[in-house]
Amino acid sequence: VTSVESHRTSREVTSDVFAALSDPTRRVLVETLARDGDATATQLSAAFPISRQAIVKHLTALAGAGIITGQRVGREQRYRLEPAAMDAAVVWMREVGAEWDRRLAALRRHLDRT
Amino acid sequence: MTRRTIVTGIFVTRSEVLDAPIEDVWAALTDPAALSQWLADAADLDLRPGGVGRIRLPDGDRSVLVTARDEGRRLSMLWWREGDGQLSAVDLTISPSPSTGADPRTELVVVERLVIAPAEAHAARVSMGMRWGCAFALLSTVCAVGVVGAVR
Repeated sequence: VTSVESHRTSREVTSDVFAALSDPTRRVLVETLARDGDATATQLSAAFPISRQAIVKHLTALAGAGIITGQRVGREQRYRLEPAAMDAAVVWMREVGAEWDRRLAALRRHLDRT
Repeated sequence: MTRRTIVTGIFVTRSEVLDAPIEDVWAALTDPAALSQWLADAADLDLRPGGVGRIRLPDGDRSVLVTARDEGRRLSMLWWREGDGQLSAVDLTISPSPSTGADPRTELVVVERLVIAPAEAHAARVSMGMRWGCAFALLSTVCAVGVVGAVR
Protein backbone atom coordinates (compact mmCIF):
# COMPACT_ATOMS: atom_id res chain seq x y z
CA VAL A 1 0.00 0.00 0.00
CA THR A 2 1.51 3.28 -1.04
CA SER A 3 1.15 6.64 0.66
CA VAL A 4 -1.09 7.71 -2.22
CA GLU A 5 -3.58 5.03 -1.24
CA SER A 6 -3.57 5.88 2.42
CA HIS A 7 -6.11 8.68 2.14
CA ARG A 8 -8.23 7.03 -0.53
CA THR A 9 -10.56 4.10 -0.29
CA SER A 10 -9.49 0.75 -1.70
CA ARG A 11 -12.46 0.97 -4.05
CA GLU A 12 -11.21 4.25 -5.55
CA VAL A 13 -7.74 2.85 -6.03
CA THR A 14 -9.19 -0.31 -7.55
CA SER A 15 -11.22 1.77 -10.01
CA ASP A 16 -8.11 3.65 -11.14
CA VAL A 17 -6.10 0.47 -11.59
CA PHE A 18 -8.83 -1.34 -13.50
CA ALA A 19 -9.62 1.70 -15.64
CA ALA A 20 -5.94 1.98 -16.60
CA LEU A 21 -5.90 -1.72 -17.48
CA SER A 22 -9.06 -1.52 -19.59
CA ASP A 23 -6.89 -0.88 -22.64
CA PRO A 24 -5.47 -4.05 -24.26
CA THR A 25 -2.17 -2.38 -25.23
CA ARG A 26 -1.62 -1.35 -21.61
CA ARG A 27 -2.25 -4.89 -20.44
CA VAL A 28 0.34 -6.20 -22.90
CA LEU A 29 2.79 -3.52 -21.72
CA VAL A 30 2.28 -4.70 -18.13
CA GLU A 31 2.75 -8.31 -19.21
CA THR A 32 5.94 -7.37 -21.03
CA LEU A 33 7.37 -5.55 -18.02
CA ALA A 34 6.42 -8.51 -15.82
CA ARG A 35 8.04 -11.00 -18.17
CA ASP A 36 11.13 -9.13 -19.34
CA GLY A 37 11.81 -6.73 -16.49
CA ASP A 38 12.33 -2.96 -16.45
CA ALA A 39 12.44 -1.18 -19.79
CA THR A 40 12.44 2.24 -21.44
CA ALA A 41 9.75 3.47 -23.82
CA THR A 42 12.21 3.06 -26.70
CA GLN A 43 12.87 -0.56 -25.79
CA LEU A 44 9.16 -1.25 -25.42
CA SER A 45 8.24 0.45 -28.68
CA ALA A 46 10.60 -1.89 -30.55
CA ALA A 47 8.33 -4.77 -29.57
CA PHE A 48 5.02 -3.03 -30.39
CA PRO A 49 3.55 -2.05 -33.75
CA ILE A 50 2.79 1.46 -32.52
CA SER A 51 4.84 4.63 -32.21
CA ARG A 52 7.09 5.43 -29.29
CA GLN A 53 4.89 8.46 -28.66
CA ALA A 54 1.84 6.19 -28.29
CA ILE A 55 3.79 3.90 -25.96
CA VAL A 56 4.74 6.87 -23.78
CA LYS A 57 1.07 7.89 -23.59
CA HIS A 58 0.08 4.42 -22.38
CA LEU A 59 2.99 4.31 -19.92
CA THR A 60 1.90 7.68 -18.52
CA ALA A 61 -1.61 6.33 -17.95
CA LEU A 62 -0.22 3.25 -16.19
CA ALA A 63 2.04 5.44 -14.04
CA GLY A 64 -0.92 7.68 -13.18
CA ALA A 65 -2.73 4.67 -11.74
CA GLY A 66 0.37 3.66 -9.76
CA ILE A 67 0.83 0.42 -11.72
CA ILE A 68 4.32 1.37 -12.91
CA THR A 69 6.89 3.97 -11.93
CA GLY A 70 9.49 5.67 -14.09
CA GLN A 71 13.03 6.54 -13.10
CA ARG A 72 15.22 8.77 -15.22
CA VAL A 73 18.23 6.93 -16.62
CA GLY A 74 20.27 9.15 -18.93
CA ARG A 75 17.89 10.76 -21.38
CA GLU A 76 15.07 8.32 -20.85
CA GLN A 77 12.67 7.09 -18.22
CA ARG A 78 13.09 3.48 -17.25
CA TYR A 79 9.79 1.91 -16.21
CA ARG A 80 9.19 -0.79 -13.64
CA LEU A 81 6.13 -2.54 -12.29
CA GLU A 82 4.76 -1.62 -8.90
CA PRO A 83 3.07 -4.87 -7.86
CA ALA A 84 1.48 -3.17 -4.84
CA ALA A 85 -1.03 -1.62 -7.24
CA MET A 86 -2.25 -5.12 -7.97
CA ASP A 87 -3.12 -5.47 -4.31
CA ALA A 88 -6.32 -3.63 -5.24
CA ALA A 89 -7.36 -6.66 -7.25
CA VAL A 90 -6.59 -8.94 -4.33
CA VAL A 91 -8.63 -6.71 -2.00
CA TRP A 92 -11.58 -6.81 -4.43
CA MET A 93 -11.46 -10.61 -4.56
CA ARG A 94 -11.22 -10.89 -0.79
CA GLU A 95 -14.12 -8.50 -0.13
CA VAL A 96 -16.39 -9.96 -2.81
CA GLY A 97 -15.53 -13.51 -1.71
CA ALA A 98 -16.48 -12.69 1.88
CA GLU A 99 -19.80 -11.27 0.67
CA TRP A 100 -20.59 -14.50 -1.18
CA ASP A 101 -19.63 -16.63 1.81
CA ARG A 102 -22.11 -14.64 3.88
CA ARG A 103 -24.82 -14.91 1.21
CA LEU A 104 -24.38 -18.67 0.77
CA ALA A 105 -24.68 -19.21 4.52
CA ALA A 106 -27.91 -17.18 4.43
CA LEU A 107 -29.13 -19.25 1.46
CA ARG A 108 -28.58 -22.44 3.45
CA ARG A 109 -30.61 -21.02 6.33
CA HIS A 110 -33.35 -19.91 3.92
CA LEU A 111 -33.56 -23.38 2.33
CA ASP A 112 -33.68 -25.01 5.76
CA ARG A 113 -36.72 -22.89 6.62
CA THR A 114 -38.63 -23.62 3.40
CA MET B 1 10.21 -11.95 -1.45
CA THR B 2 9.84 -12.40 -5.19
CA ARG B 3 6.72 -11.01 -6.75
CA ARG B 4 5.51 -12.09 -10.13
CA THR B 5 2.64 -10.61 -12.07
CA ILE B 6 0.48 -12.74 -14.30
CA VAL B 7 -2.46 -12.07 -16.51
CA THR B 8 -5.68 -13.44 -15.17
CA GLY B 9 -9.35 -12.60 -14.94
CA ILE B 10 -10.43 -10.94 -11.73
CA PHE B 11 -13.27 -13.00 -10.40
CA VAL B 12 -14.56 -14.80 -7.37
CA THR B 13 -16.08 -18.23 -7.57
CA ARG B 14 -17.84 -20.42 -5.05
CA SER B 15 -19.28 -23.91 -5.35
CA GLU B 16 -21.80 -25.03 -2.79
CA VAL B 17 -23.73 -28.30 -2.43
CA LEU B 18 -27.10 -27.56 -0.87
CA ASP B 19 -29.40 -30.01 0.89
CA ALA B 20 -32.41 -29.10 -1.21
CA PRO B 21 -34.01 -30.21 -4.48
CA ILE B 22 -33.09 -28.20 -7.56
CA GLU B 23 -36.62 -26.76 -7.83
CA ASP B 24 -36.33 -25.20 -4.36
CA VAL B 25 -32.91 -23.72 -5.12
CA TRP B 26 -34.15 -22.30 -8.41
CA ALA B 27 -37.07 -20.71 -6.58
CA ALA B 28 -34.65 -19.15 -4.08
CA LEU B 29 -32.68 -17.69 -7.00
CA THR B 30 -35.61 -16.32 -8.97
CA ASP B 31 -38.19 -15.11 -6.45
CA PRO B 32 -37.45 -11.51 -5.39
CA ALA B 33 -38.95 -12.18 -1.96
CA ALA B 34 -36.58 -15.13 -1.52
CA LEU B 35 -33.62 -13.11 -2.82
CA SER B 36 -34.16 -10.61 -0.05
CA GLN B 37 -33.70 -13.47 2.42
CA TRP B 38 -30.19 -14.31 1.32
CA LEU B 39 -28.75 -12.37 -1.62
CA ALA B 40 -29.58 -8.86 -0.54
CA ASP B 41 -31.22 -6.91 2.26
CA ALA B 42 -33.95 -6.00 -0.21
CA ALA B 43 -34.62 -6.86 -3.85
CA ASP B 44 -36.92 -5.07 -6.28
CA LEU B 45 -36.18 -6.86 -9.49
CA ASP B 46 -37.74 -8.12 -12.71
CA LEU B 47 -36.00 -11.46 -13.13
CA ARG B 48 -36.93 -12.04 -16.76
CA PRO B 49 -34.11 -11.74 -19.34
CA GLY B 50 -33.60 -8.02 -19.92
CA GLY B 51 -35.33 -7.25 -16.64
CA VAL B 52 -33.95 -4.49 -14.48
CA GLY B 53 -34.21 -3.48 -10.86
CA ARG B 54 -32.29 -2.77 -7.70
CA ILE B 55 -30.95 -4.72 -4.80
CA ARG B 56 -29.80 -3.39 -1.45
CA LEU B 57 -26.46 -4.68 -0.20
CA PRO B 58 -24.78 -3.78 3.09
CA ASP B 59 -22.50 -1.25 1.36
CA GLY B 60 -25.20 0.34 -0.80
CA ASP B 61 -27.68 -0.26 -3.59
CA ARG B 62 -26.85 -1.94 -6.87
CA SER B 63 -28.65 -1.50 -10.17
CA VAL B 64 -29.24 -4.87 -11.78
CA LEU B 65 -29.79 -6.07 -15.34
CA VAL B 66 -30.74 -9.71 -15.93
CA THR B 67 -28.67 -10.78 -18.94
CA ALA B 68 -29.68 -14.43 -19.26
CA ARG B 69 -32.05 -16.91 -17.72
CA ASP B 70 -31.91 -20.59 -18.57
CA GLU B 71 -34.91 -21.98 -16.73
CA GLY B 72 -33.96 -24.24 -13.85
CA ARG B 73 -30.25 -24.01 -14.69
CA ARG B 74 -28.69 -20.59 -14.84
CA LEU B 75 -29.30 -16.94 -13.98
CA SER B 76 -26.90 -14.24 -15.17
CA MET B 77 -26.90 -10.60 -14.10
CA LEU B 78 -24.87 -7.45 -14.35
CA TRP B 79 -24.91 -5.25 -11.28
CA TRP B 80 -23.26 -1.95 -10.54
CA ARG B 81 -23.19 0.93 -8.10
CA GLU B 82 -24.25 4.24 -9.58
CA GLY B 83 -21.38 6.65 -9.99
CA ASP B 84 -18.73 4.11 -9.14
CA GLY B 85 -17.63 2.80 -12.55
CA GLN B 86 -17.31 -0.73 -11.28
CA LEU B 87 -19.57 -3.39 -12.62
CA SER B 88 -19.85 -7.09 -11.86
CA ALA B 89 -21.13 -9.92 -14.02
CA VAL B 90 -22.73 -12.51 -11.76
CA ASP B 91 -23.52 -16.06 -12.89
CA LEU B 92 -25.51 -18.45 -10.73
CA THR B 93 -25.59 -22.00 -12.13
CA ILE B 94 -27.34 -24.96 -10.51
CA SER B 95 -27.31 -28.69 -11.24
CA PRO B 96 -28.44 -31.84 -9.43
CA SER B 97 -25.70 -33.14 -7.16
CA PRO B 98 -25.14 -36.86 -6.51
CA SER B 99 -26.80 -37.68 -3.22
CA THR B 100 -25.86 -40.57 -0.94
CA GLY B 101 -29.19 -40.57 0.85
CA ALA B 102 -32.79 -40.24 -0.26
CA ASP B 103 -32.79 -36.44 -0.08
CA PRO B 104 -31.91 -34.67 -3.32
CA ARG B 105 -29.07 -32.20 -3.29
CA THR B 106 -28.17 -29.35 -5.60
CA GLU B 107 -24.86 -27.84 -6.52
CA LEU B 108 -24.77 -24.06 -6.89
CA VAL B 109 -21.81 -22.45 -8.64
CA VAL B 110 -21.39 -18.70 -8.22
CA VAL B 111 -19.05 -16.65 -10.36
CA GLU B 112 -18.75 -12.88 -9.88
CA ARG B 113 -16.44 -11.34 -12.42
CA LEU B 114 -15.23 -7.78 -12.43
CA VAL B 115 -16.08 -6.11 -15.72
CA ILE B 116 -14.12 -3.12 -16.88
CA ALA B 117 -16.29 -0.33 -18.17
CA PRO B 118 -14.49 2.19 -20.38
CA ALA B 119 -14.93 5.79 -19.32
CA GLU B 120 -17.28 6.56 -22.20
CA ALA B 121 -19.61 3.70 -21.25
CA HIS B 122 -19.58 4.90 -17.68
CA ALA B 123 -20.38 8.46 -18.75
CA ALA B 124 -23.25 7.23 -20.92
CA ARG B 125 -24.60 5.20 -18.03
CA VAL B 126 -24.54 8.15 -15.67
CA SER B 127 -26.06 10.61 -18.13
CA MET B 128 -28.81 8.36 -19.45
CA GLY B 129 -29.86 6.79 -16.22
CA MET B 130 -30.94 3.21 -16.07
CA ARG B 131 -33.39 2.65 -18.86
CA TRP B 132 -33.79 -0.27 -21.19
CA GLY B 133 -32.01 1.42 -24.06
CA CYS B 134 -29.16 2.41 -21.80
CA ALA B 135 -28.93 -1.04 -20.32
CA PHE B 136 -28.44 -2.61 -23.72
CA ALA B 137 -26.17 0.19 -24.95
CA LEU B 138 -24.11 -0.55 -21.87
CA LEU B 139 -24.02 -4.24 -22.69
CA SER B 140 -22.66 -3.56 -26.13
CA THR B 141 -19.94 -1.18 -24.97
CA VAL B 142 -18.53 -2.74 -21.84
CA CYS B 143 -15.52 -4.89 -22.40
CA ALA B 144 -15.33 -7.94 -20.20
CA VAL B 145 -11.64 -8.56 -20.32
CA GLY B 146 -9.03 -10.41 -18.42
CA VAL B 147 -6.93 -8.04 -16.42
CA VAL B 148 -3.75 -8.29 -14.52
CA GLY B 149 -3.77 -9.83 -11.10
CA ALA B 150 -0.91 -10.51 -8.83
CA VAL B 151 0.51 -13.61 -7.27
CA ARG B 152 3.27 -13.66 -4.74
